[in-house]
Amino acid sequence: MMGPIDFSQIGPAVGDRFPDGILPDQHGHLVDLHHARGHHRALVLFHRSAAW
Amino acid sequence: MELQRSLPDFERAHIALFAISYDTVDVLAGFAAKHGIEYPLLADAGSKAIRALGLFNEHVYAHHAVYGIPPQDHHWGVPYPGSFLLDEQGRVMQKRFAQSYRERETGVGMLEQGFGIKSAVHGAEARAHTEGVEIGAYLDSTTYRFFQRLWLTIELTIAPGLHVYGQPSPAGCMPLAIEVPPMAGIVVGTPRFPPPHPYHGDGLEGDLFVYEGKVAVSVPLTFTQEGDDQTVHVTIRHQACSTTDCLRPSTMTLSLSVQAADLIARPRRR
Repeated sequence: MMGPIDFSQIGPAVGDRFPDGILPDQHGHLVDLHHARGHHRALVLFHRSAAW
Repeated sequence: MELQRSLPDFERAHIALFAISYDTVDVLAGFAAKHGIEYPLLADAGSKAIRALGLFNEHVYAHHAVYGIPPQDHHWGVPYPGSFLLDEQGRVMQKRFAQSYRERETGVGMLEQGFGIKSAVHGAEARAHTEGVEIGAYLDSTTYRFFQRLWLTIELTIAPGLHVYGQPSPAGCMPLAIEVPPMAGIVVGTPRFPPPHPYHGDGLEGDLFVYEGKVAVSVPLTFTQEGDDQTVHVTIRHQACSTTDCLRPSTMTLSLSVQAADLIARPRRR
């Protein structure tokens, strides 16, 4: 039986700058996350799959 | 798809939206076209970024086993599902992750609970009026999906010159209380109250803790069964006072309907 996960220890921490990253979007265009958000706040959502 | 509905809210608030998964560009292109998605869906094929960020879900088979689901190849490579809220400097302000991989919030939930911004597309509001206090209640959405977390928001608008007691309340005075009775298929979480502020009552010993003006309380509801349409009842108890007098304690119950989204898509024969 698994214990609860401590998400404060998983992934970027609160207070840290979210790491830089470049990934292609649905149009095949490369997106630099921090560049794309400009000086605005952002919501970065991680999900399992669009296919299932 | 549901996040797309909140996109105008996010754009109005100047919050950029990004979704990341291990899907390929082709899969995301198909999904975006089918559902009219206009915000970036980023393709981390091979889960390289997911791994580099420390979000690779190594426990994915155990998490599915909790629900009696056997391991499947396509499970491997997924991130822990959740979201990061970034500030204007790109720093993580907040992380929103659930213990169950199935549980997911709505765009309205993330906007209102995460960023504290009122959505224009939340569910229909039920309203009531008591002496000195207007009460409104709404859900993130008028529909629910299996394992979705909807927030129930209760807003009180307290007339100027009046205050409502928070906890701890003076003896004989009713503090603001929110009760949602248990419902089949819905896990009702603990209400989130904003902190009341201290109020020095004339001639009274010690500090009182009160709310004035607008107060919003949120209750998380997780819909753990695929089922029928539901009605959520919420009882709001409070007592409003001025500096000199107290009004009678008030108990008010509001009801909100929420429909099963999958029933709308595929109506069952009854």
